[in-house]
Amino acid sequence: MADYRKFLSKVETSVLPYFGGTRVDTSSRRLRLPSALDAPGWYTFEIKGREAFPKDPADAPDLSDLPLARGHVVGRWLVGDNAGAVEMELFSEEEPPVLAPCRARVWYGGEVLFEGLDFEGEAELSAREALEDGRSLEGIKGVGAPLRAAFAYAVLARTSRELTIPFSPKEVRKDLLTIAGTGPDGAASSLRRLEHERRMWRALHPEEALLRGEAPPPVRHHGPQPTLANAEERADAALEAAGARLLAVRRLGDRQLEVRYRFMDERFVTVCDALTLQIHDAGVCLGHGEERGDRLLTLESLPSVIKEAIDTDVLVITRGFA
Amino acid sequence: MAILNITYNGLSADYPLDMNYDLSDADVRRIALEVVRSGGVGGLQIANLDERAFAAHVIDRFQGQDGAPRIYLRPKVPFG
Repeated sequence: MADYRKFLSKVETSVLPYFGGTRVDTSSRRLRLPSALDAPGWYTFEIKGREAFPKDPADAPDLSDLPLARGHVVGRWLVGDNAGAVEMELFSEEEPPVLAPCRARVWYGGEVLFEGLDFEGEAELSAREALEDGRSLEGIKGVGAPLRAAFAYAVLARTSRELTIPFSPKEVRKDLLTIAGTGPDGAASSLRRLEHERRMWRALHPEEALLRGEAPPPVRHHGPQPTLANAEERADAALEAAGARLLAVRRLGDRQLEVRYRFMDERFVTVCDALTLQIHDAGVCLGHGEERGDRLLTLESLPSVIKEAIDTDVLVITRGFA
Repeated sequence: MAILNITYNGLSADYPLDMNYDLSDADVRRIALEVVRSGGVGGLQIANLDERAFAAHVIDRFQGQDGAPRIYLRPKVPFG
């Protein structure tokens, strides 16, 4: 009879990218780390069962078998089809020229890895000149939809620095076409709208006292009994189940937990109860006053709400990732 | 096996569904109402839960990372 303990104790070695949090992805499965690593990068991991143990930093392997993504560079973003802007991971230290055509590879967990630049055409050069001159794309021919969106994001990034109003791509997606046609004025208008909504939100929601002991934490049908000690593990599981990826957690006072995570190519910071995972501050605008929705939700159901906000172009992020 | 995740009044809990994933929204609301009333979902037992408690809830369907379907029943919240 076969001794299955041999299979269970089998150790593999693999070079994998680490993007943050306590998990890494291989081509076939997601593996758990004993703890978060100090920095993102490529590492050699020893794999035992569903756990991966980091050994040493490593060079990136050949990625040419992974799906290819194309677009234009704006800072660390790859702007591609449907005006999507995705932050590239493990990005080169040398920043490519803005609006440069770019190739990237998509890792098994959905992360986008910079691969290289493509040759530029007349459209990229003209668009970059317009950006540098503070003009719009009006009158420039041959500008495809991804380049048009990238131009708008680049104008927004520049205007954002001038006005010191931060933004995330999915907050401004509905304004991109207008900004491409109007330049910095349109970008300023879009950013001021965001700032106005955030000011309203801050004015209406000063720091609130924590609601305590109103209900016992729910017992899940599987998994650990909720305790403060296993809050990170449960936050990770809640986000993982909803398709989000935990990046980091930080214990705050009054039983609160600050949770940083990625979802739908965007980063979010949410504060929740460390025991029940009830949301205290979603980090996105969810109504005001008595109608405010944060506390109706938990970390388990919040990603579904964020997805709705993104899909309907009403996302406003109130808690920055910096 | 699909998992039904119910969020009500700031608490969430999972309930395993030993049945077909292709449940209608009405089925999902009816099941949630029954299991919360009966205490089938630990920590979320409300015996006198109103008949229309989940009438305005949103239903989302995801494929979990483990491949198991997940159904989220959560409150509708305002934006902005």
